[in-house]
Amino acid sequence: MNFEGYIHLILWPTLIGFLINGIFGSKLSRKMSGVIACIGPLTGLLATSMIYLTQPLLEAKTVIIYNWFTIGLGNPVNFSVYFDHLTVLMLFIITGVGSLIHIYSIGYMKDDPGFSRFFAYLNLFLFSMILLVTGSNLVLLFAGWEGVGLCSFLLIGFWFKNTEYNKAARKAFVMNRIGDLGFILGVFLLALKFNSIEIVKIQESFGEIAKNDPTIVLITLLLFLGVCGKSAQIPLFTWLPDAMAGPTPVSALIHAATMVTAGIYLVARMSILFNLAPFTLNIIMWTGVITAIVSASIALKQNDIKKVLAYSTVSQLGYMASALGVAAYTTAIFHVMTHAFFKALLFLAAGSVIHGLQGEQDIKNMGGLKSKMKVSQIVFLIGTLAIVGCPPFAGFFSKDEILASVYSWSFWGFVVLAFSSVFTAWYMFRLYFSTFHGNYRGTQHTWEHAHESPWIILFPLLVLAFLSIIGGFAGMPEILSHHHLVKEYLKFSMVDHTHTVSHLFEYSLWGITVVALLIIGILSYRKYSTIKKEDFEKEEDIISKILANKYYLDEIYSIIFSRPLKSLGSWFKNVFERNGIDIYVKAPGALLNKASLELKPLQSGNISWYMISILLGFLAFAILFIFKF
Amino acid sequence: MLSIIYLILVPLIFGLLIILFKNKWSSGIALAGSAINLFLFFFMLSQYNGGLRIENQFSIPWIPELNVDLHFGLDALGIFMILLSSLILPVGILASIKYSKFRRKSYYVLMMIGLTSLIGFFSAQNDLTFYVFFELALIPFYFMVLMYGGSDRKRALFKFFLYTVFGSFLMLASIIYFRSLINIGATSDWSILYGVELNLKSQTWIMLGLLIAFAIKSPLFPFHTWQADLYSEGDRPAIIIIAAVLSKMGVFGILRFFNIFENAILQYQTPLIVLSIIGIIYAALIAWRQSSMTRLLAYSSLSHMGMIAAGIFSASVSGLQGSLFQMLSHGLVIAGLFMVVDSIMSRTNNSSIYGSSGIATSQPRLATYFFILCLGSVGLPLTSGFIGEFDILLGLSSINWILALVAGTSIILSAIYIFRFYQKSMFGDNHPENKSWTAITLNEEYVLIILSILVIILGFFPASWLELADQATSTFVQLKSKIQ
Repeated sequence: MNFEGYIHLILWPTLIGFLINGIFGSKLSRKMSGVIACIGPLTGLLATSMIYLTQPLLEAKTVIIYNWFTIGLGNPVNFSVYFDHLTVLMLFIITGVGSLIHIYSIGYMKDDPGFSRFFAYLNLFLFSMILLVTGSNLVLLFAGWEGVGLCSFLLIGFWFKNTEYNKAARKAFVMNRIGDLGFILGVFLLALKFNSIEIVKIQESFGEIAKNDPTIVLITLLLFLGVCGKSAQIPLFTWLPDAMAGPTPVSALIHAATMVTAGIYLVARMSILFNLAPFTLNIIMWTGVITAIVSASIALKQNDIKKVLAYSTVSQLGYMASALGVAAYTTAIFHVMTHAFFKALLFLAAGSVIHGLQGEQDIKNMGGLKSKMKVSQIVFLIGTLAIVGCPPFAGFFSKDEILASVYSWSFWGFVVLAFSSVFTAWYMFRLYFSTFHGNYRGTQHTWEHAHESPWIILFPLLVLAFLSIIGGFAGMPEILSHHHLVKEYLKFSMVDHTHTVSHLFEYSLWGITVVALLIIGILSYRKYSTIKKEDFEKEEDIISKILANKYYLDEIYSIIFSRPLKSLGSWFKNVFERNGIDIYVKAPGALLNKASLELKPLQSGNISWYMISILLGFLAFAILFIFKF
Repeated sequence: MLSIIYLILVPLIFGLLIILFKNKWSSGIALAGSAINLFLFFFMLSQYNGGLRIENQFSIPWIPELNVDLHFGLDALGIFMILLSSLILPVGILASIKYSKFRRKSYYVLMMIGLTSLIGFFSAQNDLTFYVFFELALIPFYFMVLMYGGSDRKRALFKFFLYTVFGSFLMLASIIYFRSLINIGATSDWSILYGVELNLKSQTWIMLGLLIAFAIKSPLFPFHTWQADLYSEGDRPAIIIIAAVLSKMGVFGILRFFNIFENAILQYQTPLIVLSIIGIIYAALIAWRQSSMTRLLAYSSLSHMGMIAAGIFSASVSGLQGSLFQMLSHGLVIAGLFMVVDSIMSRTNNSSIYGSSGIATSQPRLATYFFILCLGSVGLPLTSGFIGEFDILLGLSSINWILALVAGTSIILSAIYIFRFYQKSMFGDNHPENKSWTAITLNEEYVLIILSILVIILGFFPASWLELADQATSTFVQLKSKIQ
């Protein structure tokens, strides 16, 4: 099979799966629905692997499928895909993690009445995500971009009887759309400046542009607004924790491993453009750094197992953004990859726990689960070690690389990131120990029914655990190996700045990491492996309260934005429409009323008066005709 | 080549048939008439050669002293709206079938007259024919609402009537003024009228009169206060047609007369665009706070019409193209949304968005079509709503990106109000009366399926229609480049 054949095998099976499950889902058996849904991502994974194996040195290629529409005077927007190494790597992550999560979902959702609907949405999500990373122009990329937002909306509100979930879904979509507005404006300005929206063509025409050219800065800032929406950066990150209302596989796939990294992908894809705007890069770095520490600090005080993981996702996205901000694009993508492994693992393991406890998500009601769920406990521990950056797990290498890159650019940025690493270690160990160690704090009933999940759920966990252990070796630092596989593979897709740190710094960073992790691990073990239920509520000081309430950001946004706009809308509706605009409509009406009162005497019923009127009328017409007015 | 007059006469003939046959046949005859018309139109479309020509022409002398003919013909601009009219009329008739037991023959005769006058209006090839059919199109729908509207229809209609009379007066005055300025010796179709060079002052007066008339008709902010009342009190099948097709008559008029007052538009471009954008946001904010489905759709429609107007006033290639495409798309989407509202309200007798909560559980198919139409309304890529909005905003940003930014907030606001509407009316706990609601009928389902599919197909394959839109508006831009 040739290259184009593989492309079609990657693109369409998920869409077909969506259509089948979406239209005929209610008539299919659960088994059939599940199998059909899994065909899409598995085919995609196979085709991606074939491309990787048959063309290890793939030359960047654009394949036009058809002419979508034309903007302005003859500027075609094609439905066309672009393949280079970055695309292939992203496709591996999407279809790989996607396949595992599809398989997991068959077990996880097996009793849900919306089974086929769920898989239809999941397939549609994968289709949009694939469109996003393969789109050769920014408009098609935007189609995927909005498409994943839509699926996120559908899946967060999957259990649509719950009004709270619906609200969370709407919040996610609207917050994303705020970013999307920035994105699309950026696309407009690019189209007007370069007269093209093809990513490759735009990048070819950069030659004569000066650094920090105002238009380029504006464009990159607008695009970054889109990134803030999709990749949950400050100020648009508050939707992501609420998005945990969706089923857990959704949280793993969409709100951790793939969709939220779309923003990171966008900046990496447009790296040449962003390199022209150091001003924007600086803003990106600081946004990332601040997002990392703010969300990590919030995670310290959350008691919902999924919420902790959600804030940790935001925090990790902050790491990725700060890597982008120092023009270490490859590093950011490397972290996207390792993060996809260990965060999907953590979410799915959490899902396995939730599944085993009949929907319990509060860690106050957990504890001691290691005796009941051995596999879940071990894989969760692996995920924890990976995310806190313990060598030699996957997260260690990518995080280390980010820290080093940021250090070579901005010392204070590095310090803040290092602090958030400490926070990360603290809340992750707290989560792990209070869930799996100590004594069970929930009801006797749930404890008796607590059980390990079936194999269809455990199998994806084991694969992801394996990847979380070895994934990091794809990007070993210079002092260990001269082959940074990810960097070598991606070197033609994006242009990094070089970041060199001394070997001494590198070794001391490792040393400090290991020591710090040991200390935090031990402290955390002593505190949380024996914690009692009451102890969770003991922390009543002001800082804990602020953190537990997420810095009151939702409330602040509500006071600044949504409430005033709502009141304005209500005022328009109730007051201005009636007493403002309608006044000049009522005026003629009132006038007419008055006039008719005045004219009433004319309708006197006096026949001779009517006769005279008719006669006068005729006369008037006659005069008009004669003089041909 | 088939003359356009067939499209105009066929509905009238079927109107006569309705009078001759029994009452129970009338909806069927009306449906057949509109279907035959649609078929005839597709046949003409298949033979349409494109370009700037006017095809399938028909004209008869009307006022010989003024050299005015009744003149009809098919051109690129008209095709969009004739397509929309021919598609939406059957939708209205299908929607009315469930009420047909309570409808007299005259209702369907009016439907047929409505179709005739709409096609006459959109194919009118000179200003006076345009004016006559502009007025004529109103009458059948006015009576439909008068006969079968809600309890408060008379007040709503009176308001509507006042507005319209005022607009018509201004329009007639402007056209007479325009005619008085040009040499009446010429046979008068658009191509000749467009060639007339007027000075800026007279252009401005003509523009002012006509724009107000058109703004009332569509409506556009701030001439819209009749709309929400009429939409919520009107006979719903008629409102489907009014919201989808009649609302486009105003903006269509702006496009028709664009060449005549083009300089005036360019002169006052910024205030016109700003006013349109104020309308977009104003209407969107009100739509957010509405709890009545019909009123919410009325304001959402007002917001979208503002977007279309902004695109036209941008006087740019993509803006004009996008506006014309969006007129078609919005017509399909709003017709579908009103169809959904009609389906809900005919079961619940409740216009509140909270009156049907949880209906998605018992009617998943209705919920699906509704959702697709919502996506069209918020302009999600790969639905028809995206293309128009994209082009319009691109056109605006070619003038000034701040304008595009402010107008673009509508993509956020529309997501807020449409999904609020969707979730409150479809999702949540089951409404206590949920059990008694009957499943949607086949009639309703066919309409919704067809409209949903059209929304998606136009989103995936808009290219040929955009080409047509390009042909329709290219004359304007040619003129523009001539001026600059």
